[in-house]
Amino acid sequence: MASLETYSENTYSTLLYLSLEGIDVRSVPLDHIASHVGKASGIATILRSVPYLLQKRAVILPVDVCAQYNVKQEDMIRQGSDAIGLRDAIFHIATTANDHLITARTMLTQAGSEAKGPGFHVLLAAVPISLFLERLERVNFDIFDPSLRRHEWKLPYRAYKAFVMRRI
Amino acid sequence: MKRPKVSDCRLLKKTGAMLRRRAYSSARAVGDAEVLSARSYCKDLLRQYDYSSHLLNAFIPPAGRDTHLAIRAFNVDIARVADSVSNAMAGRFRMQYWKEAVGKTFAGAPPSEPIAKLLASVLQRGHRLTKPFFTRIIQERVCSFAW
Repeated sequence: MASLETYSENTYSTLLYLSLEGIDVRSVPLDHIASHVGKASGIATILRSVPYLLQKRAVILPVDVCAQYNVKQEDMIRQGSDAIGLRDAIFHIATTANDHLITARTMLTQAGSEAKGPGFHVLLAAVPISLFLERLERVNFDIFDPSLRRHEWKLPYRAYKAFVMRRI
Repeated sequence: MKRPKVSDCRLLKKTGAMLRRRAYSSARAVGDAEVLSARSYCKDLLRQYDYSSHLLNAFIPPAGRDTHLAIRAFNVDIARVADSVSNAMAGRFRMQYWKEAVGKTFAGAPPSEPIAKLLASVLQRGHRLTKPFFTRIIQERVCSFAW
């Protein structure tokens, strides 16, 4: 799980840091918030890719989480969402991503006007992640559910609302 | 009393900025038409593979939109390497190509790749991006997918 978080930090958080540099905003509190948003983004993206990678017989879920819930690779490939322990493992990983989002939201409320200035726009990347995690919760953490692959029609409204209220 | 560092010197910073601008003006500048077509390419790539980023680009302040487009298009391209190549060797070559492309773009001579051209135009306009961030992203993806 820790290596998944490192991967997310080094890939997705770095994209946010670059976007912040692109609007010439250099701020330590914003970087901290971006780090958590990036980690949540990376974890959610990995979760999204699980069904596609299982078709290619590749398992990308953290080994420690799979061991904790006795999830076996062969079970995942053959039985899909019926594999023992898979939903619990997905719940565990999705909760970690959600915890990062919650931390980012808390830091944003505490950061004050600096974080709600021009740099805030970059943090809107948290909105699609939040929407995906909500959808995942609604399907009871069944990562194979087809509704997870459907277009997110709520995104424009939620992004605009987050933008106006300065809350991710 | 703390000794002032050489890097704090304002004159040195101004000279550095002036030399960087000179370096870009003497290197191959990205023309307006190229920027338009690169922007359109990146938007189409995002519309197809990362719709969320495509939509959220409208919320980014106008000065930062090209950077955001270029960065997200770069991410899509890098992330799709595993899906779009047929073997591990081709994947490694693609990653190596990107490492070199980033180096050339920061040196002011971008390859004829729309994403690199858009990035070069952003750097030409004076935005300071950190090159190690790009190399970190490439390196992390190379290591994580164990080619």
